[in-house]
Amino acid sequence: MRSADLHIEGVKHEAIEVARNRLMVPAFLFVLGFGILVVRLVSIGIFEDISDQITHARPVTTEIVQERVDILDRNGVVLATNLSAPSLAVRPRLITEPEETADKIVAVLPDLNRTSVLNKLKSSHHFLYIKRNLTPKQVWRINALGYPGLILEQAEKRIYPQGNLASHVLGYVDVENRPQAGVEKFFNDHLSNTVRSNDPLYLSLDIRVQHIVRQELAFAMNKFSAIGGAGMVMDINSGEILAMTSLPDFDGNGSVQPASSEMKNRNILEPYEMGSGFKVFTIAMALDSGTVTLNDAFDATEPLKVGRRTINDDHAKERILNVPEIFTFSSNIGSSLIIREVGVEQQKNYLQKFGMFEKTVVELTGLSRPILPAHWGEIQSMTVSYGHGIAVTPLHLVTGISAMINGGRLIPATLIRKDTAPDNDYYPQVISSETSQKMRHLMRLAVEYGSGGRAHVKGYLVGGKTGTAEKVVNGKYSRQDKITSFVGAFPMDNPKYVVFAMLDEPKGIEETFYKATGGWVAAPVVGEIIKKIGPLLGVLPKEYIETKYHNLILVDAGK
Amino acid sequence: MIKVVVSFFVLMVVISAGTVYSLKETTERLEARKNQLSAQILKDHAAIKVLRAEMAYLAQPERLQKLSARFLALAPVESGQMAGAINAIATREGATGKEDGQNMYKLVSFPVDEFPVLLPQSKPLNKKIHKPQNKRIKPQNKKIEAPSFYDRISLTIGDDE
Repeated sequence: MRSADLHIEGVKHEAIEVARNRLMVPAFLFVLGFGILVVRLVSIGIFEDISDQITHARPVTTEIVQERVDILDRNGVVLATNLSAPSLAVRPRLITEPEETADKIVAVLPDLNRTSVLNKLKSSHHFLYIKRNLTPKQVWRINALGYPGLILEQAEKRIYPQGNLASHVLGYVDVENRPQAGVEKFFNDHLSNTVRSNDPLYLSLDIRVQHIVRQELAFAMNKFSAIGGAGMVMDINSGEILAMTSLPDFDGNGSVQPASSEMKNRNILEPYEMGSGFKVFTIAMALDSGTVTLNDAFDATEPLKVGRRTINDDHAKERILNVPEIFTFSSNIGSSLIIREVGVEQQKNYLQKFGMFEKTVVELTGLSRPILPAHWGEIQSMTVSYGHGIAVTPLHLVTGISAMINGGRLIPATLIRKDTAPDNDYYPQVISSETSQKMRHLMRLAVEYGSGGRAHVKGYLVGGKTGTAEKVVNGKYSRQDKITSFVGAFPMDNPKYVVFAMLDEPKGIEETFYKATGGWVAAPVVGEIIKKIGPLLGVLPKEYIETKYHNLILVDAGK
Repeated sequence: MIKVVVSFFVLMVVISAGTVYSLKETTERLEARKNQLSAQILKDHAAIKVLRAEMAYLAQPERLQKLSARFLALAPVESGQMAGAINAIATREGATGKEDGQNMYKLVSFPVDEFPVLLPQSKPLNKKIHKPQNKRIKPQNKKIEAPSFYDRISLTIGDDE
């Protein structure tokens, strides 16, 4: 019995031993498995960096406003930005009591018409907008109404915090945030690219300069009852436009009428006959080609008869004038005689080099071609020499004048801030730097002794040229309606900025002896602008320097 | 022996399970915090955008000009007030900046250089208005004329809003 028990025990024992031995295999596997897990856990915890992949894969809950990229001025002041402005929409099928709902909506949004709201609530459409661009307070009150049929749809509105100030440069967007004009349209690829939402567009504009130009221009427009005006400030060494204003202007925040006259950017859209401002080009090409030297003199005693035309001087001296005098006293006869020496072909070549035959280059839409004489004979070449018979946009003139005084390089205008210094050799040399030097002195002379005297500013050497052109009304030159302009530059010993002002149809007032010429109307505007922007732009004032060619000029002779 | 080994492994399993659990818990908490923070950052970005726009609106040159003409006794800088170099400024006797180099003076930036930043200003109402003793001379008259024109051509900017 006992032995049998033992035997049994022996058998049991054997079976248990076998079971235990077999159990070791899964136990070993378990230990191995957990061991791997532990080792892996420790290695992950200690040796591996926590990757951001997991968290980044999750969608971000709050959507930042980024449908359109911001536009800033050169100092980082916001010119255009997008702010959240939800739209109120309705799903009419979910509205049970349209009358009551309409009453409450009109109570929150009093500018809505109750009938039209009611019509929308009752309509059979699936989805309808009631109002766009709600303020945060209105959003809160609509939410408080608690109607499930009313939907607040996230939307963005383009805001122009500066209002009218740079409206022509910026352009505007329509209710769907589609760009319609200006920089908004030209740089739409950048501005509508949401990936670049942290990469704002820096313009070359300086909002302070822009304000000064706009204000002075508005002042003059008001004073002389002009119907319009244009003004620009350009850095002549980089082509950056610091200010571009055209009056009247518009507010991109409000409702914009695309066809109205406020929308017209006179700086680029309309070619005008620039008048005597063109004499800068005439003298420059004459000096540069070597056909005329500064000491040459021309007879301006009598009006010049060419064919059926007679060319008169506005400020006739009735004597023989040398080249600086022709420029300073703005003699039409003199410049006609000079261009006769230069020749038609040479004149055309130079004007083409100065960019007067093509559209200007700037980052805006709606640039105009110049209007050139259909037949370019000797008479036309003479009228063109003093800026008649050829119509260019103010931007053409400003770009050209910059080239005349910056050492002869034609630098295309730009509205984008340039962070790197421009390369001197990159731009075409249109006149020699010696000629450019001479032009600086001549333009200084015209302000010191000539028609641009009212652009004089204490502390700065201002140079420039007035321009007065009769406006073409119904195909005829009008005696009364004039386009007066002044293109100035400062400081003339080392020019930095070109300042341009133009007024459309100014009327003479008592203070100006009822004259509305460039010297009386536009030159003081430029003077006033330079006086204010000079210190702002850090241009150092200089002691008075006598102009180089002043001894060539006979100031008090003649009339 | 086996009991020791088994209990060791059981302990290990419990510990590692606990560690994994607590790690997971920590990670989730951190992740929630991270999401919260990034949401907050986005919110703040949006708020900064609004504030920037508002600042640009409030710092419109035209509005500032009006306010300054009304409340400040400051006029625009004129060319005569500018000096080309620090040495061009007339120095007092005994305190020559020329010999010591630039250490004598410290150039501070002009307010116009940091144009977007508005400087704190005490409320004009609390300022004592200094009236000149001689009442026959009224220098303010000239200044009051200037803004009247700007009022006419101005945009409608609510000064008080």
